[in-house]
This record gives sequence, structure tokens and C-alpha cells, in this order.
Amino acid sequence: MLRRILLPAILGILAFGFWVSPDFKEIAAGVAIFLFGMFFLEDGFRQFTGGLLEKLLAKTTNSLFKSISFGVVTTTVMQSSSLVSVITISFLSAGLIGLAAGIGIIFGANLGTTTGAWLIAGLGLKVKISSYAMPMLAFAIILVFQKSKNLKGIGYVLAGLGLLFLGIHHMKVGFEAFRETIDLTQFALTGYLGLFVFTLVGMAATVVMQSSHATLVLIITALSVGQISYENALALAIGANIGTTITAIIGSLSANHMGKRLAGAHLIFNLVTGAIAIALMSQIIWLVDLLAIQLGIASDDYTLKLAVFHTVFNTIGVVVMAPFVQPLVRFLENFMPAPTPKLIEPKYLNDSIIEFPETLVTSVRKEILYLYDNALEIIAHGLSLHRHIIHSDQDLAAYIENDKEVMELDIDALYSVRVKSLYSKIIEFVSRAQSEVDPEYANMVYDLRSAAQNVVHSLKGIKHLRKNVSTYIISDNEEIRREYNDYRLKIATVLRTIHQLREGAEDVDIFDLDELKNDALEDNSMNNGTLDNLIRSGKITAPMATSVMNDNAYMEDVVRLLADSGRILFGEKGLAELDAQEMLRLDEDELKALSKEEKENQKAAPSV
Amino acid sequence: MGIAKIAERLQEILGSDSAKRKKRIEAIENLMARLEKKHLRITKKLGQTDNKKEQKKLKRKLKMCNAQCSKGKQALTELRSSIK
Repeated sequence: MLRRILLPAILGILAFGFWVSPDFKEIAAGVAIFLFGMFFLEDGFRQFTGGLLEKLLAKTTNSLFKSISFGVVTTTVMQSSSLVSVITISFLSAGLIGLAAGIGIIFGANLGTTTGAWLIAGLGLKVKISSYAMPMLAFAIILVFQKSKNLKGIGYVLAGLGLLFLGIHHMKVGFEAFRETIDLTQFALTGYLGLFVFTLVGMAATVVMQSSHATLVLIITALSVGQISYENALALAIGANIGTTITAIIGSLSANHMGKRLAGAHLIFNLVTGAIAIALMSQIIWLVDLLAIQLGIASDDYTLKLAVFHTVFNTIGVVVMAPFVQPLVRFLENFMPAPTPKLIEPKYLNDSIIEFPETLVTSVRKEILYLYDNALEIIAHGLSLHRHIIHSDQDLAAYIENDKEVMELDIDALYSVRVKSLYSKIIEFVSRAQSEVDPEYANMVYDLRSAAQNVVHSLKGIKHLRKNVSTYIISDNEEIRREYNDYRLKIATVLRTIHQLREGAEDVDIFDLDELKNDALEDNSMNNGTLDNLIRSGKITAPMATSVMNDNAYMEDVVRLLADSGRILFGEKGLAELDAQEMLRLDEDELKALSKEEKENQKAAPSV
Repeated sequence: MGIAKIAERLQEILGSDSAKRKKRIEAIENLMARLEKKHLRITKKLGQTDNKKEQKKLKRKLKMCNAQCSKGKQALTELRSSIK
């Protein structure tokens, strides 16, 4: 009920807001553009998975110190801790980094953001990020249309950043009216009351303006003209630090549970740091004075002393929180558990069918077809192929040769959800049913079980193949690309033949699967001498050659397993017909003998 | 299925009653008819293509088809003689 009225209510409120306030329209558009930016960023970083960025990130975030340094440097360069937070959420959501590394980056970003206060207070300089948005978007759209995976990825990242900048800009413009109406002098208070009130004011101002930098500009300006006291300005800075987490929380709305955990870590860090700063305010002020003397800052230069304070209390936060990163990870994992994926369950199996052997065989066959359909998605996507292409009449060889798009997928996760549970339930059911039926039906059920086993084993082969397929189908080396595209073609052809058999295509029969199996076993670079030639001529490197040697075996396994399961699932169904089919089939030895005879004939034939 | 396996399978079949044998003969005849159609289809395709690679593939298919047909003929002869 609540869900049904929530969406119209939100849309209604938005429409009313747009009608009464142009500022609200600007702010809402800013939030929308910001969220679009998040989507693009996530897509962009996913394009890099397995590539250079992953290695770079792994090297720069494989320890807490490096993660913190990464956060400090990137925030200093980009001058926006909010931006680093949302980028980190994207890294996490795309699986490029772990939660601990993400937390390290966030800690570093909090330190890095203090450089902004130094720049504002010391140099009056501020990088205006919105001015980068337009050129970024223009460059991005050109890159997005490129074929190269990396260029496309850079295009999406640029588009994401451009939209984030643009979104923040629109939010700031929209909130300009708020900024003008907030008069800080009317809140002047002393003691702990002043501390708490100004912390809350700093938080509110940052939440409204979506940028701690904007709040700091206000604070520093007000402080420089004496509108607010130094103590109140410090409290405002603490509030700005806590308030800035709202940007990360908005960013995490479109992210997965990992992104939400990171936003939680950001909030906890800033709350703890803020609490420490409030509790130890007088000690920190004493430390700031001491450091100011060491740095040659005049005792009445409160703006620079505010910058020192900002750095000191964030450093204290990092030092205090760093030893607790792992407990924090555990807490967040417990507090925000990963959503449990819905496991695929059997559709056609139940104990009542065991008494009726014909029905039993039909139901088991249907269930295994269902298993095959679930596995097919993983197999096809594992080879970066679309099922609708495999099942179409399109020229597979031409399509594969021109297709250089690597699909992102987590085979292990998909296997657990879509195949593993279903497969184990089929095995359990079949084992039970076999003992209850006549031997001839038991044999049929046993064969069907083998088909299921073959499907699952072929998935494992795909898992092994996938890494090099993903690397080499986009390689600039034409030879290695051709080799791996040949593997894709062979497996895709078997899948297409199985589909045609299932659809009852007239010009396809079960023996075609044996032919495809024979093709895969006999006509490959290992057997026809192509691989040796490629190695000798230096057209492929030694690591590429070893990959081919290993992966050729996986390809052969996948083709054999799929062809055998196709034969069992879509071959003859009656006992007599099944017998006839098996009698006429050529086994592997016979197929090999045929190939051998063919080769000998070729050798004997006079060369033209 | 190798010759030894066929012989073994035939022995099993020959040991069964004649109704079952007739059913199996029908099943093999059906498959043989399909194989003959397939043979014609491949031969037609072979005559239509100039692509060397495709020709090689089709020739291999024909050979396999022939091998399957001769296995079928052998099985049919054995089964028919057992009914007489």
C-alpha cells in the first residue's frame, strides 16, 4: 500500500516544488544530474575491470597506508572530498577495491580536503569544478562511441565526472538563495552551547549546499571580517565535516550494498572525528597555536589557524580510526548485510511423479532443460556473446570476428544462484528416483543426469576460458584474437545447433553434434600445425602460446560436454528410437579414424 | 558405437521378442530415411558452393553420413534375418 502511494507522492511533491520555486527546480535537476553522473561513473569503471586501472588500484590501495595516501592525493588534486567519496563508491560497486581499501581512501579524502582550507585561507584560490563539466562532456561523448574498451571506459568516466560537476554546480546555484539568507553573526554564542549550536549550523549549511568547501568559504570569509568568533568558526568547520557525508549518502543511493557500507563508514568516521574534536577542543586549540608558531603563522591570522585546525582534527581522526578499520568493516558487513540472492529452485520435480516412469523421465528432462537454460546465459555471456545472436540466423563467424565487446559478469556468483542449488536438487531427486523405477527407465534417467552433469562441467570450462577470452578478443594481435574467436565460434555453433534441435529445425539432426565435436577435436591450431607456425614466426608470444595450449583443451571439453548433453536432451526419446540412434552414431574412435583417413587422402592427393 | 558394441547390442535385441525387434527395425529405417535425405541435402549444397573450406566440411559430413548408413544397413540385415 505504502509503496503504491510513495511514487505518486514523490512525483506530486516534485511537481509542486517546481511550480512554486525556480530554486527548487535547479536543486532537483542538480540531484538528478548528479545521480546520472553516478551511473555513468559506475559504467566507466566497470569497463576498466581486469585492465590497467584495476592493477593501478590494486597497487595503490593494497595497504591501508597506500589507500589513505590515494585518498589524500586524489582529493588534493580534485579538490572535492565528496567527489572522491562517490568515485570510491563506484570503485567498490564495480568490485575494483575492497571495503577496507575504500575506507582507507575515505580517511585519506578527509585529510586531503583540508588542503582546500589552506588554499582558500592562504591563497584565496579555489578550483571551480563546474567549469570543467562542459569540455568533459564534449570529450566524453566522442570517446564513448569508440570501439576500444579503454577509450569507451574513459569516455564514461569523463561523462560521469562531467555530470557530477554539473550536478554539484546546479545544486550550488539553486542553494545560492539559502547562502545569502544565512547570517552567521546572529548565531554568535560562547562555551559548549556555542560549540554544539555552530556544529549543527555547519552541518546544516553543508547539507544544504552539498559542499563542505562552500561552507568553509563562508566560514573563512565571515571569520576574516570578524562576523564570527574563532571558536564558533572551528565548530562550524567540524559541522561542515560531518555535513559533507550527506553527499556520499546521496551517491550511495544508486550504489549496491558495498557503496552503502562505505557511505556508512564515511558517516561514522566524521561523527567520531567530530566528537573527538568537540571533546578535546581546548587541547586541539592549544596544539594549533603551537603549530602556528612553528609554521610562522601570526597569532591573529585566524583564517590560516582555522586551516591548521581543520588539518589537525582530521589527522587525529585518521590516527584514532586507522587501527579500527577491520572491526569497522566487520560491523558494517553485519549491519548492512549483502542481499541474499534468490536461488533458482526446481520447477518440475516432486515425489508424486516417481510412481509414473514416463512422467518421471519427461519431468527430469524438462528440469534439466531448465538447468541448461540457466547455464546457457552464463556460458554465452562468459564468452561475451548474446544469446539472441546465437539463436538467430546471423552469420556467427562474421559476427564474432567483428565483436569486440567484453561482457562483465561474476561467473561464480551466477553459478551459485542460477545453477548450483538447482543442480544439486536434480541430482538428489534423480538418485532417489532411479532406485524406484524399472531398469530401462532408470537408464534413461541416468543418461539425463549425465546431461545435467555435462552442462555443469561445461560451465567450469567456460570459467577457465573466460579470462583469456576477455583479454585476447580485444587484443591488437590479430593471430591471438583469431584463435580465441575460433573457440567462441566453435562453442557458439554447438549452442546454435542445440537450439535448432530444440526448435525442431528440419535440416539439423543429432548426428550434427557429433560432427561439431569432431571438428573441435580435429580442426584446431594444435592439431593442424598452425600454432607451431605462429610460435616459430614470432606472431604470438610464448605466454600467448601456453594460453592457447591450455585453453584449447578447455574448448574441446566444453564442446564435447555440450554436444553430449544436447544429444541426450534432444535426441530420440522412445527406447527403440534411442537404441537405433545409438547404433548409428559414430563414436570418438570412429570419428578419429575418419579424420585420419581424410588426412591420408590429402597427403596422397597430387599437389597442383 | 564400435563393431564389438554393435554385435553385443544386437545380441541383446535378438534375444528379445519379435515385436520388439520389429519396432527397432522401424526405428532404424526411419533414421536411415532421414540420413538419406540428409545425404541428398549435403550433396546439393556441395554442388552449390565454391568455398574450399565449406567444400571440405561438406565432404566430411558426407563421409560421416555414409559411415552411419552402412552401420544402419548392417544392423538392419542382422535384425531382418533374425525374424525370418
